[in-house]
Amino acid sequence: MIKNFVNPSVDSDIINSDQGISSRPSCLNQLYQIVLKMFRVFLLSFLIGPLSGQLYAQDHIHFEDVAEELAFNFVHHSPPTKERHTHLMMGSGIGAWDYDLDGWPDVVCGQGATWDAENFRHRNRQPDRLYRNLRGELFQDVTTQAGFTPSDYAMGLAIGDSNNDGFPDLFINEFGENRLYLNQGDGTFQEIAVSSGLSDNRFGSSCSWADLDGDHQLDLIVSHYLKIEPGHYRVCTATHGTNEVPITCQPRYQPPAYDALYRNTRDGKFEDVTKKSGILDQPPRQGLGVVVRDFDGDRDLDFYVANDAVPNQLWINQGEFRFSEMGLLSGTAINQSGAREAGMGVVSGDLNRDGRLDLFVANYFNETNTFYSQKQPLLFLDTTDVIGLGAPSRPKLAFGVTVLDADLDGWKDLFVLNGHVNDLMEELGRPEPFAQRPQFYRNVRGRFQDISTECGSWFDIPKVGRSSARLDFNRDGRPDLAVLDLNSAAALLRNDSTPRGHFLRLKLIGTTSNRSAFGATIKTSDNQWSLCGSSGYLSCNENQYLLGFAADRNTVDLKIDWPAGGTQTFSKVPTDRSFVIVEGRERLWTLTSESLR
Amino acid sequence: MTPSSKGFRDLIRLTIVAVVLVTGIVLFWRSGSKSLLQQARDAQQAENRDEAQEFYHEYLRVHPEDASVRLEYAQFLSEFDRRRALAELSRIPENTSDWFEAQKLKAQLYDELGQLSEAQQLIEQLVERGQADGELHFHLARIYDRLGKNLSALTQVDLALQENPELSDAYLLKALLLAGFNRFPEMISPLRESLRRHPDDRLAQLNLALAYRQSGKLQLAGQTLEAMSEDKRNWPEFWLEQALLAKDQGEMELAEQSLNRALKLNPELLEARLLHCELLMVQGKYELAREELKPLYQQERTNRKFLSMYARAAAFSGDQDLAEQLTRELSHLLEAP
Repeated sequence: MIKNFVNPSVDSDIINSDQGISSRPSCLNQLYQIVLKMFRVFLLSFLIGPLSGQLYAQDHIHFEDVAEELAFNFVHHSPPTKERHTHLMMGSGIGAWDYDLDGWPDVVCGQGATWDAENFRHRNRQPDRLYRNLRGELFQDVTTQAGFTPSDYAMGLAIGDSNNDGFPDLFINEFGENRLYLNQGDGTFQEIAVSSGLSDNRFGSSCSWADLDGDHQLDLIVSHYLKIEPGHYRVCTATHGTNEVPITCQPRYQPPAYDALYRNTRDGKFEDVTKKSGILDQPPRQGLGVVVRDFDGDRDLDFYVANDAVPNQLWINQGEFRFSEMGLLSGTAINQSGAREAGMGVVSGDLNRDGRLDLFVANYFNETNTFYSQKQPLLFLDTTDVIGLGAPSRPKLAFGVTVLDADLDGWKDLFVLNGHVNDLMEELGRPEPFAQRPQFYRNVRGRFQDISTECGSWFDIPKVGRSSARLDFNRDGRPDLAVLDLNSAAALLRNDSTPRGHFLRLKLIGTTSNRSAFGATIKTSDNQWSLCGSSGYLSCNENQYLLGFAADRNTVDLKIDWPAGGTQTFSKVPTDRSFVIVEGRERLWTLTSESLR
Repeated sequence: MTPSSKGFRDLIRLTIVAVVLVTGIVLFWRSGSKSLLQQARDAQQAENRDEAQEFYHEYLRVHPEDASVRLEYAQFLSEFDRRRALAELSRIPENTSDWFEAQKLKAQLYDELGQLSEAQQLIEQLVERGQADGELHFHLARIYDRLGKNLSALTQVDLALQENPELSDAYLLKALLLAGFNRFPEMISPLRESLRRHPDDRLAQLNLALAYRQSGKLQLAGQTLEAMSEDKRNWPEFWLEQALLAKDQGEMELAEQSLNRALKLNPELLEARLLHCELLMVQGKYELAREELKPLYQQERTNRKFLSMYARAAAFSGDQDLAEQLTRELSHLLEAP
């Protein structure tokens, strides 16, 4: 049991928008920065270089799996049935969060289960697992202490402060009974899905917290994949010559289920507002990925659902929980060839730095992952091939996708997990491997290069990749990755890249906006960042911003658009440091060495 | 009966006998000591169709059970009278060793006569009975391909190559079918096999470049195109592929130049036109794209790629009404199975 939490430390090191750093003389600060930089370069070349047998060349992006070393020993459990029931091939989500507010991001892993097809229930149910990060040096399994109990098959995770008490809560969208773990603030959780109204046993997929009605409370978006009921769980086979092989059923020909919206009614309860929202006015779709952003820039949150084998949907917020579906009209429902693709994970961000949010959807084998570039407000163009993301992605089946600026050059890169849904394709004469290599796409000024073969030995081994979450577990200012493959051990990829530029870590706390500050946008003159309560496929990134800036940017000017409507600016914020920004306060608080090496 | 009518009948009889005798004598004189069958073959060799038919016919009248010669006769007839050839083939009994070849020829003739469903039915029966060989599987694959039954066609072409790996044309068909399923990496092996047998086949060369490009092997795609001789470059599809490769490599200027050459060779090449509009849109020239797409609307309104692009161009150039109308049409197409 955790006895004492260390609150995010704040000191009096104050910056305001007019004066920049007020408490430390600027020349001293510059000296400090230079020494810090020299120390980091020295440390990297002295420690990391010899360990890996080489000194890193400039521009090197490199990840090392340190899961075993740090006792992050989660193993996903999803044994396939003889008939290859669909949900056992979909994997579970992974989430990064500082649940105990000690300044170090912890990791929660969704767990699968054994499927008893005859009785339409799971056997060998296990709890989803929680790992506490002990100052970046070790992970401790605190599942039991936290009060997590055995559950069905975990799919999507959504992490956010649902009751604005400062402690993040966890929603798990299951194939089976959903879970809502309310953070008690003492290292334990209370599971309240039933009493909160979020209990539901449909085949859920990704989900996300978001304040959809601007009442500063986090509402919940829940995507559903298929409508599977007892006695109606379809299984499929394919034949090759005389060989009949079980395969995962093509989703387009299985009954889909409607996605759902839940309004936070502030009393620990949630009201199902799906009907009111307009979602039921459209045909249901086979949803897998969800991303929430303010796509039209009107300060309320919209959401996009990546659907499997049917057109994707872009739901634009019209206020009061009414949404209009704009997928086709916006150009984000299908690809450049007019084809519906099999969408899995989805991310959004301004990846080409043109000031507008783009979308990147992970798709099926022999399809490209698709990049929708927003060229005008709510008008997107599929530029996948032109920016180099088409051809390398076609011979892969992608699921998880994460945006991160691995080399801190100010250009957001893409990490993609691949792996088939069918393990027996080769028996059908189809050279589509079950396990596939993950990919890393480096963003070179808006054009992407597949540099997977240069990113370390972890990338050389094919895996059945599913979900991933971004975090900086060792607080070295470089974004790391927690990765969950199907039916395999999890990985923790430490980012050992040589930084090209500077980082700036920011933690936003909403006051008039929701406390998690989901929906806020941080802007500089030439870049922007935003976060919400889900990411990629079934997963959730750490709710901290790790911004990358070019090497000549020792200080930056920031503008923050808060979801409640306010805007704040901060001048000459020094890079390579970490700050907490509280909505409406003119000062920045430095996250102290408690959370930094 | 009167004496005069009896005399007349005798006269007729005599005339017939005389004609038969004369014909026999003439034929005997012309054929020397050769058999009817040999004479039929000689006539066929000499391209004397009428005579050959007469000899074959006469031979088969005498030897109606000779299935080999009936098949031979049908093969001969198939060159100029498919229907009669089919009739002859139908008379070959199933218990003869020539029956299977007869069925293959029958299927071929149905196909040539445009009776695809008869051809399909015939071969399917043979396949069902396990009586098909590589050629028949390949034939069935080609029929399925033309009927748009691509998955069945792929199964059959695989069976054809299993039975007979030397069916060189089957490799190309397999690759083209795989392209229809976007299974590009799988195209590479059959295309290489095809090119090993026909190194100068430009369709195979071009598809190999496409397969490499779509599989992310851009360098090999470039090398394949580079290796195509000058005379094969006078083909709009070559320049279209060159443009697509340049686009994937981010070389937009080269893409546009290649596309202009493709469109110069064939201004009607839809894929090239659409790619041109795509490049215009990437450059932000939405109105130009819309104007270029506009005249194609009536002809291409059931083409999802066209509709999608036209809707984008309309939306980006501010024509909201047109964008909405096109989106509705696109939506209907997408909801179709």
